[in-house]
Amino acid sequence: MTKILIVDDHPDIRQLIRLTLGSQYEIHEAADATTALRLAREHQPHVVVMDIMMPGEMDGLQALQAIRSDATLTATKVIMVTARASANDQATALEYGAHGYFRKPFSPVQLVNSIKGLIG
Amino acid sequence: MIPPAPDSTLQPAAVAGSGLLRDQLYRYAEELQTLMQIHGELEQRFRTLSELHRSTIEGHSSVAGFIQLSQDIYLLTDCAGMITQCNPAAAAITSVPQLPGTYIGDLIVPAHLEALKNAMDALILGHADATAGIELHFKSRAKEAALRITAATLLPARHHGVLQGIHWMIRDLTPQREAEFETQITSLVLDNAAEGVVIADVASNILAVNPAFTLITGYAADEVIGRTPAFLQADIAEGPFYADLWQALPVKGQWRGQISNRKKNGERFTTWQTLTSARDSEGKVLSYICVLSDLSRVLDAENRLLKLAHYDPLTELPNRQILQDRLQQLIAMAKRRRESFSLFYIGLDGFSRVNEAYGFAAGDVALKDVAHRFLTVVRGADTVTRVHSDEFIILMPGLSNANEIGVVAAKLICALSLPALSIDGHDLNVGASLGCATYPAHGTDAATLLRHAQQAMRRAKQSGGNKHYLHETTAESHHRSTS
Repeated sequence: MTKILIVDDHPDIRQLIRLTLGSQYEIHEAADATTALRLAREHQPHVVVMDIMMPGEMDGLQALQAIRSDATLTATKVIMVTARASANDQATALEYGAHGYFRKPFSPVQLVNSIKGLIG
Repeated sequence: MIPPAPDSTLQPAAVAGSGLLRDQLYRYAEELQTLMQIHGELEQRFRTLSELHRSTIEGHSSVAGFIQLSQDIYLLTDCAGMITQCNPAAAAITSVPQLPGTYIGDLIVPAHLEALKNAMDALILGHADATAGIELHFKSRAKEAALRITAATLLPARHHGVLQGIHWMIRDLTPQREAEFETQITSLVLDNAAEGVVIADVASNILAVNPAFTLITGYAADEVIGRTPAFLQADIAEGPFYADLWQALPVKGQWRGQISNRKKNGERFTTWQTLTSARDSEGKVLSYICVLSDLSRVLDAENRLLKLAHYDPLTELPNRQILQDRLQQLIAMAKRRRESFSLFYIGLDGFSRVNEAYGFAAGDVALKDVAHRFLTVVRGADTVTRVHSDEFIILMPGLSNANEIGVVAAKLICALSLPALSIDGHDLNVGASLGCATYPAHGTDAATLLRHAQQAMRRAKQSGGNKHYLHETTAESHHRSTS
């Protein structure tokens, strides 16, 4: 079963994404970047859907960098989701190796299609 | 009091998150609206497609039913011509028991393999959407001598737009061709027959005539079609006869006989006619066929032959055979009625000189003249015949008195001399010697009478000609002519 890791400090947003994806995926959740990195290494998800702005030691972009530099997670695709309307964030995210970038409020249809596209 | 707007980074997560969540929910609602609209459209499209699909399925099953029941042959082959499906009618054309798995080329006569290949190639290479009416001759079935003539129509069998094989609709034209051939033969026979042919419907309205009919009667086809053959009748009197014929025909099926008809130009002619009724399997008359041959020429020839056999072609007088018949009749009649008659034997005097001096043609003219002159002297009941080149015999019923014989003899001799026979103004100097015998005085049978009359003629000739002698049973006396 395809594994998806949802990373957002807001539990309602995580729940919304979980419901949107339905029961066809094995879903893991993390509320901060540190937990996200741990869970990623632990479950080797196919796709990580991650918020940029999160409280804690790392934000989403840093977590993205960490995932991309981890040799065990080369197959993991990352989609960044952010409320920050900075074009800079998008360029940075793509530079760091993100496979997709969504601005909040995101289109659930586009998010699902993007995930399906990455899974292939 | 509202606290000053804090830096967003310092804003408590719950407050920032509630705004984000609300926005995100609105976004979900908007998207739901859009999706529902799309869903409605898709539902409508689905219904349309379902309906289309249903009618396609129904159409497909009708087509499949038609194919199954069709008298025409249906085959499905792959692109290489290997048969994969066939309908029951296909069994009619081939002796191969298991058609699926057979190469279609194996069923076709070698001469038509190229046509087969070309038709398939045109379809496979996309040169044609369909190939219709290709004539293919199928090899004969095991027990039949004749091959099957067919017209094949090829259609591409596509799946998802990709050519997968070929549909073949094949019509067996053999019975049709055979019928056409028979019709051709029939019309060839009709067109070239020497006999006239008339085809009429049950009401005896003419449907068709052949060229020989036109030749014989002078009526063109368009002048007679739709009319009854009554216009050909020669006489009103024969009407009832025709009625009998038309009544008898439906019963007996055929009638043959001689009929007197009239041509377009009014000329009468006699035909030998055979009328036949054409009937269906239940015996109902469909049409009448009349074959007529013109007997006029045959009858003319017959008459000519008859005349040649009984009449002298030069003088047109009866010949010796008629003389014999008449003489026998006359003897029989005279015997029965106790009557008498005379037989004159006439030999022309000096006739051989005419042929020598003026030629045979002149002699023939003279002989015709002699015959004519004799005929002007005799009575209607008398018979004048020419029995030899320059010898004539005349039978005169009822004449036996010597004086009367003398008068007749004198008239006959006179007939040749007044005026004298001549050619181009030259007097031919032809006379006649007559010998006469009477019944029953000088004989009671033909041979005796003839012999006696001839003897009397010879004596007349020996004594100088242009006189007559009457036969005497005891003493042969002679009577000088009065000329």
